[in-house]
Amino acid sequence: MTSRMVDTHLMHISRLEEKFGATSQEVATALNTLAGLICKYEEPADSVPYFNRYLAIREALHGPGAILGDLDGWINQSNPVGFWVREPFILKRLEIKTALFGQIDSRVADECDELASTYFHLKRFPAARPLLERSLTIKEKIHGGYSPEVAASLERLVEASLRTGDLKAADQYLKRCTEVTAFVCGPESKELAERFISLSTAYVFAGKSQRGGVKRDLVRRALSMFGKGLSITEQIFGPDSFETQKALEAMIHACLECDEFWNAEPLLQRLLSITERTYGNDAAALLWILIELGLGYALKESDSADAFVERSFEVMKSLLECKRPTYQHTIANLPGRKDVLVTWGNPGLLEKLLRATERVHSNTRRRWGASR
Amino acid sequence: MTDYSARTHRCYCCGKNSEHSVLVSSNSFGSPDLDQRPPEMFRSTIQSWLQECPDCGYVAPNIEKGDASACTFLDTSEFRAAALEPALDPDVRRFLVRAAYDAYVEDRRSAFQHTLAAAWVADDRKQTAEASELRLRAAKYLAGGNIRSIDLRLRLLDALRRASNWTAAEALIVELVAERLEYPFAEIIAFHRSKIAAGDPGRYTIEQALDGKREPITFQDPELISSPSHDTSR
Repeated sequence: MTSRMVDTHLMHISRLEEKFGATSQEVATALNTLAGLICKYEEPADSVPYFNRYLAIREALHGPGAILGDLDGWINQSNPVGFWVREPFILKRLEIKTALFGQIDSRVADECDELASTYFHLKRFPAARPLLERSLTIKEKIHGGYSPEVAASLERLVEASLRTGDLKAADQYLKRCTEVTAFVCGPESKELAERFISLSTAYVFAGKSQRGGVKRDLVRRALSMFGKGLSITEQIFGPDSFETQKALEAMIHACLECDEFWNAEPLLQRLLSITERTYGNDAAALLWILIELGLGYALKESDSADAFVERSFEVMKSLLECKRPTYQHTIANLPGRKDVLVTWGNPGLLEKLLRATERVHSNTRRRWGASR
Repeated sequence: MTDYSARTHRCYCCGKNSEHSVLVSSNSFGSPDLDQRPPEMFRSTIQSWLQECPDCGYVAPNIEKGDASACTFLDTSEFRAAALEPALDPDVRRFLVRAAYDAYVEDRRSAFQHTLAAAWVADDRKQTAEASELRLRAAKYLAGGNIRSIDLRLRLLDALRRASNWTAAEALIVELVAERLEYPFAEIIAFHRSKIAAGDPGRYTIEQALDGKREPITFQDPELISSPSHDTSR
């Protein structure tokens, strides 16, 4: 249904068409104004036919290069329309850039990367992969096979291949990615370490959608890769460094997300002792580690859970008893503070602790002879 | 079936290699004791629960693993005292060294558990007096602290009874009874109370303690079942 404002503008446009012809700058300008007003005051998706007509007239009058700026403005407008509405325009912009600048151009590669990132965000991995492959080909021609740009593209291709279940391709890209990174940055470089850690977490996440032997193999290889990355990180920054802690944290979250508690457990224990040494035995940063250990042990029916749940309550008590408790979204980044009580997430720390407590209680009852 | 494998382990602390008989698999049938000592066959694998480096004396479940505190502990007087103690048996000494390490890192719970395991070795050797002394030593690790864990307090209760420390055992029973614990804890406490009254420091299993006592049928609140804390997603 069109509004009064749209009807008025359409009548105006029809008069302009009679006066200047359908393919005229005047009609194009009026269509663009109408599309802009709809985006601003009404349902943005309704502007698409008018904007499309505007682009067609501009292209006919001035060639495809003339509409690049218009596309940029419309795609990046402050009242953004949904991606499904913008997607055809982004693809059109890519097509125009390819026609104007040629297949091998950094602007085309950037466009491919940007669109691939959006597809990644939307979990449309099969759509992302050809764009990344296209970007890789361009970068290889422009920067050479052994360049930081190629290494970065290869890293994203590993993840895209893993997410699409093409493990063979993922392995091939992985091999090249680590080779190129080692060549460009050095075999003991921080960049190579970061890449190992990032790729290892990607391999663990890929295991989430696999079963049995395939999952085990992915996780095993991920841990081996993580070990290499961690070892370089420790050499560069030190075994208790912030960078080492962050690496451990990344792998712990990946393993926990994929129900690999026994692989996360030694890393949690290591991070716990580093955090205790660095921030003290009752620091807020300990809480999530203690709770994950407590919950993990409880779910695996290990009697180690009891001690960690008890300690979690002690740390939480010290947080509750502080004079001015504040609530924060995350405690992970505020390791030295004792006044952070709650982290929110899915599920939050308090909820996990409650679940661990219940599980410990039921495990304890069974251990002492109850049947349920 | 219990199975062992001979393996060479590199010590985390001194870096030297040594041969160890590693427990590969085992099983348990029957009821654990009232101090949670597992039944056979796992019960008889106690000699393989800890490894000891023959070069530096580091003791751990796996001497290839450790942290900075494990190495610094080897330079302490606590380590020397435990390692040089004229113990009855190398297996007992290993557990006591590990308990000393646990105490060093302020892990009272593990210190209690490892000292209790030393008492189990003494039990197996029919060294009743030494076993009692080790149980009292284990109990000391938990003295003076506010212990909330039911599991740990029930183990402690059994250790005190088996060491014939009737006064401490009765005091712990009074504390536990005041908490109005549910099945099976209340029944186990009542069993201990009857044995204490009879002056019986013997070994009993959980099954024996619960013999003839029926588990009450409990109804769970359906709202609790559907609460987010029961959500299985992590």
